Amino acid sequence: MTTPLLDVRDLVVEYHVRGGSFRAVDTVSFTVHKGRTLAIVGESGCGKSTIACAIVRLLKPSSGQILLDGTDIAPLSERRMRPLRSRVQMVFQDPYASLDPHLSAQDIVAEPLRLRGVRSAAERRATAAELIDRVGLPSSALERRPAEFSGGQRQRIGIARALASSPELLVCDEATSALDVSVQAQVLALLEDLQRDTGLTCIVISHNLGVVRQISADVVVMRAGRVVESGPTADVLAAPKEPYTRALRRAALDPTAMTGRKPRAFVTAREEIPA
Amino acid sequence: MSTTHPGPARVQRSGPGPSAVTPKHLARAKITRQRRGSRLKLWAGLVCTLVVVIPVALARVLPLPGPDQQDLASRRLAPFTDGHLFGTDQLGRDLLSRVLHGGQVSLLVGLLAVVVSGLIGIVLGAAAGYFGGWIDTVVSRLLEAQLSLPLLMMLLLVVALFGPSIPVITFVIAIAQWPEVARLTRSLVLVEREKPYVAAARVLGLHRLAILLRHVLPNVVKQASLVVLLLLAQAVLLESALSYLGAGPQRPFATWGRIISDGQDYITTSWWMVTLPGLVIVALVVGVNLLGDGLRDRARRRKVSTS
Amino acid sequence: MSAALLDVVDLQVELITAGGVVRAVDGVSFTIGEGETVTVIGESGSGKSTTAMAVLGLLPDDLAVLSGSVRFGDTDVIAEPGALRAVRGRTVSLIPQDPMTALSPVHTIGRQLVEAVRLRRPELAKRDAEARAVELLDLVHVPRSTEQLGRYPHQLSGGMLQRVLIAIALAGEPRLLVADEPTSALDVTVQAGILGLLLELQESTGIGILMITHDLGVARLVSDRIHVMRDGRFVESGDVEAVVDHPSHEYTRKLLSAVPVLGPWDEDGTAAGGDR
Repeated sequence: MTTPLLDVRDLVVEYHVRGGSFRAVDTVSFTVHKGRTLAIVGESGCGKSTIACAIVRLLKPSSGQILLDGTDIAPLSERRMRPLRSRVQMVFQDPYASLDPHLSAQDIVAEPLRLRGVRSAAERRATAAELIDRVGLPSSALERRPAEFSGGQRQRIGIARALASSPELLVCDEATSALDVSVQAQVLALLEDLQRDTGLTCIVISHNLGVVRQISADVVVMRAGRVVESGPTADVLAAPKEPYTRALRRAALDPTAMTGRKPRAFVTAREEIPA
Repeated sequence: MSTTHPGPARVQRSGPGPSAVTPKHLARAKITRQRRGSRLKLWAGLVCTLVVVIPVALARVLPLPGPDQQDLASRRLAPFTDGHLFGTDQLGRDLLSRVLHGGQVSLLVGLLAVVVSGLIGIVLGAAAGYFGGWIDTVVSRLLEAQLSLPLLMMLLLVVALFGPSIPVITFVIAIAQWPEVARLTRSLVLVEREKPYVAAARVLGLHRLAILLRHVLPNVVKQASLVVLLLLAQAVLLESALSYLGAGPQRPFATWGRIISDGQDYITTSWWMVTLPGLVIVALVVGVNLLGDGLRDRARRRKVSTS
Repeated sequence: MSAALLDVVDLQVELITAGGVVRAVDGVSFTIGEGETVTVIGESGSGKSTTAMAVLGLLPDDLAVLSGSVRFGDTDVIAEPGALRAVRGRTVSLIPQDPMTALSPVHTIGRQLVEAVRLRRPELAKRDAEARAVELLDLVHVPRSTEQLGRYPHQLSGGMLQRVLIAIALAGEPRLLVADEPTSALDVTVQAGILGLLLELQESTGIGILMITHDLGVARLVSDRIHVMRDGRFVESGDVEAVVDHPSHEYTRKLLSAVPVLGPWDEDGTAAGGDR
């Protein structure tokens, strides 16, 4: 196979805390090929969001490599990283705080265009309007500010802003977990559309196995900073091998797949899962 | 809750059942009381401020004797005699005219001082909060140093060294006030810079300074500038205090502090010479504080309702 | 069926907000009997939490105007708000949404639990109240219960804190629990443990549960009956199997279709063994 778009090798991220350091991500490796989607799934504190932040270089890994199309971006300084930033973009978890409250939707989406060197303001505004239309918002949205939008609409603006940089890789960090389920479905559908139409490569960070199954071909299951299990999503979900993955799968409640009435007990407490 | 009969309340969406909200409910609702309170503050503040500011601004236009026009025949006249609304002082000068003309100097110094301290405070506070590191250390130490010094002594010393001209006094008051603005701006920026939209701007590839100027500052400047308004009252007080101590703008400028200081020798025989200028200062300070408070309440409520 | 623990008829809640009067709950009726779990499910802004808070009388007087009736046994707490104090904590208790912030951070678990025990039984001596507290912690499967009494909330995980909060709710020996999104702040494996605990408690004590959730999976697992709420009204109500497996209202269908499907899986681990 060709070189992967993203090749993460032995990634380690340590946080310095009082009296030592804490390993949030512990020698994690995975690859993402062009046009594919990889999901990183796990519970809170497993290190999945830390990996997302390392890939977009919001933080600097302690060791390991992050090869973007063959270039290792892990050790780059902020200054050396800046020209590469447009290639990897991110959609954030919190729809309420990830958009600058004092800018209009159009200005938010137009900002990355200026960084890409689009000189004419009219051209930037026109492209921003196209992107906002592409993510399914009406043209009346252009002049409005983030506070006037619902959570789902804000995530659409966040996606449009990321797309404005024409990224090769899009990292979605729990992009739908703050949304209602029906809104989540719409945003997921939009992401699926974008994947299909533009061949966008995605990394999806999620705690929700259902979301992972819906939009990603491959999955990495994490726990306590380490990879527990990985493989094609369909296989991992249909026949999880590791006890932790099985516990996750059992605890994920799919209303349409349940049979019978209220069970008398339903216990897979964390203490019972072998570490 | 004995009243459940339908009342004439505004209901956004009409359901099958009648509304149980009565005017009594509406009147004692928290939101109604809050809104009434802040509206009262705004109005009272506005009235008090304007009652002082408008006459001061129009001092030259109003049909008044000059502030330095002496008339030794009519010394220390009580208020409301011979057309002297506030009475006259020990040299027979019209007190109202002196208060209004003096107010021009006092307000001008106050405004200038507040603008300068606001600028210094916002710039240093934002830089300290956003960049952290050595900038934060330096600014924070300066803030602490300023707190630990006897302020009025310092100000008197500076005035004694450089002379009591208006620029020096403006600068001195600004130096006294910037820490409040800086401390507030710093804490606002500390909160703001952790928000994901700042991270988003970094991921887009914006330079750190550009993020501060384009994204962080516009979101804190409104709250910071409301505090600057509250400082205006303090600046006027400080200027009066300096004048009272003899370190204010020199004659012929009749500032509020100097008028009071001149009048205090006569407080037992001519109460108005101290009391009336004092009341004018009180009206302005209370008015500006109420206004600033009311505006802050309103801004806060708006923020709550949108989040 | 015996007399209902909770009987809500035409409950209406109007909130006086900056934007005018909003009818957050618009004439809902439901009952909960002994040993039953009744779930109100809805998306944000549907009024489901407001319903729970209204039932418990926890909405501030100067914000909300209630009408209709909420009866615990023979007591209508809307007609006589004074009766609420007698009902709350004894007949009905709340399990809050966010376990991390629901306990006082400066007091030990033991002190807060003992306080709850003594509210119900003031006659107990300190030692007996502590014994009762340990008993309650054992009931909710908090390991090393005696040790935990001396610990502070920040020393416990979210799942353990939620168990402590359930113990505190049970200290009043209520007949009904109101659980307002009790697991939405927790990880799924921890959620499974908490839901399992609630099912087990109900099995052993016959306590009634009013469950508020946005999660259809949770609702399907623990409920006997569910009410689908939207814009302050119930759009569909009924037996859990009927509503989830054969939804009749369009909104319920839309909600169900929005839940990502997980597909079948090899639950018994036979494939992992490799011989089939």
